[in-house]
Amino acid sequence: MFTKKTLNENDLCVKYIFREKSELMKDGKPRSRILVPREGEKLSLYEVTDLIHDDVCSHGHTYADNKAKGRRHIGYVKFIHETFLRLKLIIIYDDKPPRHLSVKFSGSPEYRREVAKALADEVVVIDARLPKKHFAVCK
Amino acid sequence: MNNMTAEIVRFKPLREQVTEPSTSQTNVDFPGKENSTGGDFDLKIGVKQLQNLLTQLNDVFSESKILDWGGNGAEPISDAAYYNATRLLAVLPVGLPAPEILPDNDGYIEFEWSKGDKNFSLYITDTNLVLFAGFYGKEDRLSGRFNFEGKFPNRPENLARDVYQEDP
Repeated sequence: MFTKKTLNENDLCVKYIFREKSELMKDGKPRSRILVPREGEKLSLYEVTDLIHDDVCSHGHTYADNKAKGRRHIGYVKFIHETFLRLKLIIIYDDKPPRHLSVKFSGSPEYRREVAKALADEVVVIDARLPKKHFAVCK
Repeated sequence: MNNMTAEIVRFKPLREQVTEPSTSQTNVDFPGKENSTGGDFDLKIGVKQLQNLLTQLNDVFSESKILDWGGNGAEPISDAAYYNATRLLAVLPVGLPAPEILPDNDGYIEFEWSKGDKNFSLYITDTNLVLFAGFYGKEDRLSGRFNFEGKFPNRPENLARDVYQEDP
C-alpha cells in the first residue's frame, strides 16, 4: 500500500549495481551515466536509512532484481538525502515498490548529465580500506 | 559558463567534411605516402590509436543493439550517431589522451576523459549536435553544446585537457 514519507537530510538511499565494470569507476564511485534517467523518466533509488547491509541486499533481491531478465544486483552505492537537496534534485518517495524513490532531473540533456557527474562524486564511503571504497558488495 | 548555442542541426556527409581545408597538423603516415598532408583526408590521431578507438566504438554500438542493453529501457545507438562518432574520432586533437567510449541511456555515444575525480564527456547524437558536461570539483562543473562541422572545437578540447591538469 502506498505510504507517502518525508525524507530527512541525513536519510540514506542506495542505487543497486548490476555490472561492476560498466557501472563503476575504479574507486567504486558510480559512472555518472547510470545516474542519468532516460529522457522523461526518473532515477530509481531505494531508501535504506534503518537497514543493515544484509537487509539492503535482501531488499534489492526482492524488489530491484528482475529474475525474468536474469538481472540480479551485485551490490550498491549509497547517498545521503542532503546531497539531492544541495543539487536541487527533486525526490519523490513513491514507495512503489516498497522504499522506492524517484529522482527527477530537470533542465537540458547536457545539464542533467552535469548534475549526474556531481551526484556520482557525492557517494558515501562505505569502507575506506577497500580499493572500491564506495561500493558495498552483496552476495 | 554554460551553453554554446546550437543552431541548425545539419547532417553533413563524410565526403563533404573531409575535403574541408584544415590548418591542423597531421601526425600520421599512411602506407604508400611520404606524408599524409594533402592526402584524401586529414587524420589527427595515430592510426593505431584510431583503430583501438574504433574497436571500442564498435563494441559499444553492438552492445547497444541488444534489446534493453542497460536493463532500464535504454535506447539503442542509431547508425547516424555511430557515423558521427567516427567523424569526431577522426579529428581528435593531437596529444589529447584517448577517451573511453561508452553508451548513453538516451542513445548517444559518450567519449569520456577522466583522471581522479575530474572528468569531461562529449555526448554524440544522431545529428551534428554534440553535448558536453564536465566535473572538475564540487564547485567547478559545467555543460554545453556545439554543432560539429568537421573540426574539433577549441573549447571542448581545452576542457578535456583540463581533466589532466594538476591542481596548484
